[in-house]
Amino acid sequence: MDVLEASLQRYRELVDDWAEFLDACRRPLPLVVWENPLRRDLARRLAEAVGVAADDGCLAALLRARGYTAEPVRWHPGALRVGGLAKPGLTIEHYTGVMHVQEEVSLVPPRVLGARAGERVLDLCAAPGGKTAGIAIGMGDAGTLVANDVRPHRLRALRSNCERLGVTSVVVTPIDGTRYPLQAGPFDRILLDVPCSCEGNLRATPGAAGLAQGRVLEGRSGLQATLLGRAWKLLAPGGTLVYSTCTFAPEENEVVLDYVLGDEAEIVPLGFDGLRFTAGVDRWAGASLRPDCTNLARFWPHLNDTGGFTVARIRKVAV
Amino acid sequence: MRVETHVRVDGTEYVAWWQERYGTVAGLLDGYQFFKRGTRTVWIASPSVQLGELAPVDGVGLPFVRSGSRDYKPTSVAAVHFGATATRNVVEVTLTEAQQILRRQPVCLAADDSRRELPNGGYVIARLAGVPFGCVLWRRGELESCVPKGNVIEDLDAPSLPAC
Repeated sequence: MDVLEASLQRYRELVDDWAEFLDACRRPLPLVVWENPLRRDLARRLAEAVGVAADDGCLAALLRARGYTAEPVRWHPGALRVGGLAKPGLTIEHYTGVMHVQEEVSLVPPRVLGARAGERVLDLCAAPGGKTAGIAIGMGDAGTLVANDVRPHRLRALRSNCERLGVTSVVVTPIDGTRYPLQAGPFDRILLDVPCSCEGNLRATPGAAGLAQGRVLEGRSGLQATLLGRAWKLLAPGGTLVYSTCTFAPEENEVVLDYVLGDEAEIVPLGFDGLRFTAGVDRWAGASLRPDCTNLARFWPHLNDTGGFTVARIRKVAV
Repeated sequence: MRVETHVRVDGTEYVAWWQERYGTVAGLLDGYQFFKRGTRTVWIASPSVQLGELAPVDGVGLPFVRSGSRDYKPTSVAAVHFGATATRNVVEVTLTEAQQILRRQPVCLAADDSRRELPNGGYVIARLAGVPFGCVLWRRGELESCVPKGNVIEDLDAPSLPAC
């Protein structure tokens, strides 16, 4: 057993195919980009300049004309798996916001949140802003999308990405999420993509495997629970909160939801056409958890050739 | 402690300046809201944005123009977002020239270069293959890069096309 396998042993009972899981964890991540509908005019101009058909969804044709491979991501319109492009950040498509580079499973939370035009939405731990932009695009860049982060260097990245992608409906705030002012609410929808041990990033950052243990894990869980408690108070009755992490640890996922959520919360089932996941757990480390924790979706690297991710959609029952 | 925040301002003056200087398609800036924080930066945001009780605020929509100096300076973000249809004070550049600009290096236009017919001086939108990618200061035969330091890239990867 090597270091990677040893560091992931605690999840053995949760994984359906251990050998495939380890194999996927050892492979580099595919490069995924998405076409920005807010910059379709610029994509069209670039496509015309290189002599390819400038229809909707012309980024794939554009990249192919430039010598790269581009295959559609089946479950997410506008997303592409791209080959041969070593430095996407240097392309004119990236620089001008025609496309954005994002890990495939990171496209899940904005989709699950399902924010609509005109709503008031909060992305409480928003940096570096890829998910924020995804939410704004789902809203047709219409409404109020508050993107918050407290860490200054991460705030710069958040603003830079939203500006590069041309999002005009975002308000950026630099506030500690655990003490976010309640008078700023209520929000129709909230994305809580909490700081986590990030071990699901192990394909991009091999040292990430095994980060979810000991005091680091305890500290993260405490922060996550505090953030969830605050976000819940900011959510309107009948509203939707999406809780997500890029870690496998139940202590940062189901256990946090079980600890914080009360009777007015309902974790609802999820479904995707073309994206596989396993159910959350309702028992961990000998303790029983709330039964609807099984509605949390666990995305393991081998299921869709992605990073690791977990997502829960929670409805606040109107009273 | 007083928390400085963005204040909504009348955008008529900024819209008129932009349309006059860059001759973009009519109605391009209709309906947007404008905000200011301090004296320098004017922000442009969707008409649907409601600040409500939010404070402090770090940014609203897109930074549009810097108004601190004698001339208004469009931000690079505004040049990209609103510059595609510009008909005045816009310059098409080659890939090599775009790469220089994105390294924050000046581009010198030769004496017989027809692009020297740019009027007067001032801030000009730079386009590659019709795609706006930033803002340059045109003066004394040179296009001076206004690319923010944080946005510098060494070797832009783009289709190699002649300047229009």
